[in-house]
Amino acid sequence: MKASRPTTRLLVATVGALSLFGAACSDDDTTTTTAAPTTEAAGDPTTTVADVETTMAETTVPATDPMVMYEGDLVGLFSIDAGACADGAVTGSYFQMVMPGGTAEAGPFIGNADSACADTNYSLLAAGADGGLMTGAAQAAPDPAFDATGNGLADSIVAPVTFFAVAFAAATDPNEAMPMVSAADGVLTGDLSAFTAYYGTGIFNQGAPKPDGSGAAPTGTIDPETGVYTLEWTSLIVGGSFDGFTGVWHLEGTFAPNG
Amino acid sequence: MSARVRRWAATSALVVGIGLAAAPAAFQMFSRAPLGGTMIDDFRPYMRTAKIDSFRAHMDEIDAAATEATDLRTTMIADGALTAEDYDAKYGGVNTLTADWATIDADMGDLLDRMDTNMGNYAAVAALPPFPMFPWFFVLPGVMVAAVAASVLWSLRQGTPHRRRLWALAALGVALIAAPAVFQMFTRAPKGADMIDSFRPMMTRERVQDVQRYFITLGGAEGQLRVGLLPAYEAAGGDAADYPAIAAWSAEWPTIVGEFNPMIATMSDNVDNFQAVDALPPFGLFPWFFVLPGALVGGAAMLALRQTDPPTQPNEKETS
Repeated sequence: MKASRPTTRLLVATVGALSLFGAACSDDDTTTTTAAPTTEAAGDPTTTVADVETTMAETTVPATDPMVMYEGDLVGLFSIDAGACADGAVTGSYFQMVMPGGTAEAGPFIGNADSACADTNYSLLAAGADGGLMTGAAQAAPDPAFDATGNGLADSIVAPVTFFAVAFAAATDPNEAMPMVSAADGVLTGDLSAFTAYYGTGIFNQGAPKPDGSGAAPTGTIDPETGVYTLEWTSLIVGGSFDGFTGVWHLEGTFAPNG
Repeated sequence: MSARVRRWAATSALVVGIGLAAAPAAFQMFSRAPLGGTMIDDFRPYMRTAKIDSFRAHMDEIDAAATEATDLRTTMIADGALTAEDYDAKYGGVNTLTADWATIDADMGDLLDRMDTNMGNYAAVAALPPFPMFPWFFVLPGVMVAAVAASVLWSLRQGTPHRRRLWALAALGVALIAAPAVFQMFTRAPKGADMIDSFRPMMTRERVQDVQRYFITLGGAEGQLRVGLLPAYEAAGGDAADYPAIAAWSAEWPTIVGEFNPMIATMSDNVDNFQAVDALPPFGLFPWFFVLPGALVGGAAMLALRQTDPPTQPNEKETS
């Protein structure tokens, strides 16, 4: 028995409708899978989302690799966690002064009786008015840079620190290279040649490298996801009353990009 | 015969002129003299009686504090506030001061004495023409003498008149002889030499590093006295007022830092400048570097003039 022509048409229409319905259901599943990473990647929707979508499509599990946010030139604020001494351990940001001929690792250091630490070789640092060290911008010392007794007045990067009863201060010299720090796989380096200390009416470049390019660049680490960093450098004092001494700077905190 | 004498005289003047012009290069005056000028400028704020007296007053304050610090140690140990071992372990910086103070005082006193006794010498040197000009005081007259002498030789060769040129050469010789007197070099240059001799022991890298160490010793001790020892003494029932010199030192210390810091910087930054000046010929000889060439040039010119017939016409008729 042969099917009649209207019956055949009805069967074709039914099969087509079922196929369309199946296709529609399949599209809905795919949309559900990609929606989640779009929300997770909100921190950097322009470049990171595409990567996450690709990963999700292949593995169909949420991304577990760290999201690299702090890489390349880091322009912004390296906020400074205040130094502290507890149980003989020094944490946070600090400064040390190495005697001529000494090393940053072994000293000998100049003890600062005004230090809050039992180990007076450490002078603790606290964030200044700007909250820390800015890159891509100068944090110049005020004019005048000293009060009548030679206390340094610059207070943008760190709060002035009493050393031998006189406060030293830090700023970045706008006449030198703009402070710059960059990250590569969580390792920091940069140009802080403009970093300058002010003490007892004397002005001492404490840059790394030095403005003439000598000396080592600053080194450190940064958590690519959170921006938590450590940054340290040593800088030989050339000329002036502390000629031959070496400053050791250790900063800790969190980096926040501009904007 | 007379032409040979004139040629010899002009040649001698030419050699002297070239030697005079070349002397600054030979003695590296172009690089060294400006460094001397920098040193003179940098020391200016410290070569004043009031400044030296201020430094001496600070040294007296520290001396009194160091004496009290010695007494304080004795008292605290005697009172049982601390054992000698505890004291020495806690207040090593103060111990370093009391142990080294005699050396520091003597050495710093010597520096101040040298600066004090050389104030007159410094003033004499500072009153000389600016140091960067020194080389040109040789070059310019040297070139002028050489040029005039060369023109005399050329005239002799050409057989043209040259009597006026010989007079010009004689005048240059006289000017060279007179220059040291005009600039009071005979009195000022030996004073400069005395100052260089007197500063030589203090303007060395080692001496500057000694002073830097003194500063660290003083700063460390002052801090320990102020932050640690006196509070500990009071906590043990003592009265900080018993040690007024220590309190006075602490009160004055920021001012002392503000005064000593730039002085140490001046010493440190001028060690190389001083050594450059010290490498120049002795200051005391400088006047003679003008007088002797001047006498040679002037004498040679006068000798040549004696061998030259005076003009026969009032209006310029020189002979060759």
